[in-house]
Amino acid sequence: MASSLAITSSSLCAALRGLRGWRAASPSALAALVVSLAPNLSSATVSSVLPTPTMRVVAPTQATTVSVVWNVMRLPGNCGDTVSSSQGLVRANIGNLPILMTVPRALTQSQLCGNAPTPFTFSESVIIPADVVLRAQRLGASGLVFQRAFADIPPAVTGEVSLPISSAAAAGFGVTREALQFDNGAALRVLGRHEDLRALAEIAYSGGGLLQAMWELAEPASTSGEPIFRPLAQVREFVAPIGDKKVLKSPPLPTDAIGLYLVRLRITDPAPAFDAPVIRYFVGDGRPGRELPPRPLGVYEPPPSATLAPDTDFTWEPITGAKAYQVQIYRVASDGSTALPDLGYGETINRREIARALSRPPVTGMLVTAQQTRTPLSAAARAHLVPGQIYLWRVQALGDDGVAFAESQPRELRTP
Amino acid sequence: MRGEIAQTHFDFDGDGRDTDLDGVIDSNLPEESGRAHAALVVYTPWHDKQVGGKPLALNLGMENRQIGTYFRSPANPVGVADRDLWRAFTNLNWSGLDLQLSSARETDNVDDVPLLPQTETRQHYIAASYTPTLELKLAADGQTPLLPWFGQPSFSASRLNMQQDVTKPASVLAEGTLREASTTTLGASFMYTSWYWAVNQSISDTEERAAFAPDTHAYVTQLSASFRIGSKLTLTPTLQRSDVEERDPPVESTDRDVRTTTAGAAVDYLLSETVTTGASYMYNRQHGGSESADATTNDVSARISWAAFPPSETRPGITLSLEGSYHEQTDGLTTFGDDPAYQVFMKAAIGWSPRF
Repeated sequence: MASSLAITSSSLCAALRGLRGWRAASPSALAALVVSLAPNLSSATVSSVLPTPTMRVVAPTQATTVSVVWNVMRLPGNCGDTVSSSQGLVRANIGNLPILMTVPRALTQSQLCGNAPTPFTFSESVIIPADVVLRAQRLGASGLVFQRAFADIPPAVTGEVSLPISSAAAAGFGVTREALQFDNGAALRVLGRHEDLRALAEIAYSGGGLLQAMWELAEPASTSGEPIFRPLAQVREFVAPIGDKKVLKSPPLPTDAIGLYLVRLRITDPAPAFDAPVIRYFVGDGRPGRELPPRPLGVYEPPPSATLAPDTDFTWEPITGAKAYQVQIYRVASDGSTALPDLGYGETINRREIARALSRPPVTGMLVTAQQTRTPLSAAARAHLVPGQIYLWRVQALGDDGVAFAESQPRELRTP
Repeated sequence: MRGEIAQTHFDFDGDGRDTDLDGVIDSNLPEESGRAHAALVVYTPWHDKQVGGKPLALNLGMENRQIGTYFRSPANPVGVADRDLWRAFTNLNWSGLDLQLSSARETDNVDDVPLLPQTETRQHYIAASYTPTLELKLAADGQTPLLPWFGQPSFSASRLNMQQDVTKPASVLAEGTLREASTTTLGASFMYTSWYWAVNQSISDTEERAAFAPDTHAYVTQLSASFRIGSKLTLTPTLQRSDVEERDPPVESTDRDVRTTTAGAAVDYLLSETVTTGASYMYNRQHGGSESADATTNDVSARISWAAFPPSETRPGITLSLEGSYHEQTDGLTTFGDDPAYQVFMKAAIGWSPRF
């Protein structure tokens, strides 16, 4: 096939020149003309279609994202400039290969026809829905195939990816969903300059493997026009097949400049079939505790995740403008005894539980004058705490008007 | 103790599917039934126990969670079904030390579908973190504690081992080990009143015995910090490097080794009460063998802001600012997106929160 397609335009021209004096045309010139002009049974300039990967395991009860790179080779000579595929077909791998789903997306690329073979590369991500896999299973098939036919000049050449059916645990690693929020559970934040802020990404997946992604940020210097995302931090984490959700925490997000910021987590491997969601936060000027959330307040003791002892003191840094300090202790809805250990990467209390706990009144605390930056819990305050529970504590600085204008980040505290 | 049980009837294709897009429904599957249950037992042997004058907390627990092959919950539409999990765990907390241990075994093909294989996954995990309680000296005011030169340290380490075996062969899966993986993570952070620095290291290895995907070895190092120098200057550097090596790729695939380096710094300086300046630079370099990657990006931004009229309750505030950004990307494999992009803006922002 390759040798018959090696006929070039130069041989055709030579054959035509020979015909001008056809009575004296050489047999070789006539043969060349016949070969050039005869319908070429293998005139397709696309010679091969090789997908990568050639196989991807799919699960019967959940959608599977299949990312395919089609490597297409076009031979030179009698070719157009455009190689395309109008649609993809998902078939059951049984009998006469019945069609289970049509992927209507067209793939097209143009490169000028030259004197050498031309490689084309097409990338796509296709979601194989659960019902398609289930339908194949009901037909008695142990797998499916995903086919695409590519052509420059017809006929087309078909490539296919094998999709054997297995369970989700044994299927290839795929990301099915990505949800972004800030560390208080909100999808939009307005805060003051130099506030602490992080984003959380909840990834739903099937299978297991190495997750590769990049946290990216667009700053006010570009969000006023065309947002330009710059890298913030890489994500390279192994995700175990046991489990179906993974929570990733961003690095501290900048809050130095006033303006609109956009944040996203762009997953690069396995490539998802959706665009990365984007969340936004606005940094502004205003009065802490009123137009803007309170200013940050540093605390020293007790350290994070400490257990409350009889001699535990709460200490914090002094802050200008405080008229009083308030230590607040909040009950967390799920206590440590029922919080199952995340197999590798989670926190004892997730951010939603923190936000929920802080939305309710504190169960106990202490109120001290501005001259104090250290206090133990009184016996009356301790009486409100239940043994064997996890609590959150924070310190607030109160101004002249009694409004909290500064507060610390909540920390875990356990009762023995 | 806690338990849940649920049953669902789910129609996976709704009103059916038009498989060839000719406007006619070609196939309509009946609804599938699925059952699931979860049970949890946690035992806390004692309360108020002290060891060495420090409180000791210990939990022991066991969990079983079985989700049928065709179970589908509308409350968790992306949840993965077809799991039978047994897990035992323990959690110990004492004097700043937190220790977690867990061991799990999970099988699939819960409904024993003949055409599906069955796999068994075993996973073991241990994690420890230690935040020492420091004996802090007090400053001259008699109240403010003084942190030592290393600040408030916190250390963490974890190790996870996983092995997945095919116990009932079917489809393309033969009996035997399917994959093995391990990951080790170490971290340390040192916090001060107004700044911190942290370092993290992780090593992950996966071995794909069935050759559906390449073996991978990933090595990630991360350094991060934030410094507030005096009351006017904030400096935030960051450095991260990862090496991902692929070995033994599937047939007709090539292995890709990619090294990614991300480094940058941001600085913010308060010139006066009303004028602030700042700048940031971020460098990202990705390169690897087998023509897998060769890209470099440089991002620079700078700004200066002047709060000409700060907002108050009776009058709006006006802030003027000049901001600019520059983005440059070069790709050794393609020329797509190689043109640098820059933007400069002069802004006026009006802010007001009146009170009447």
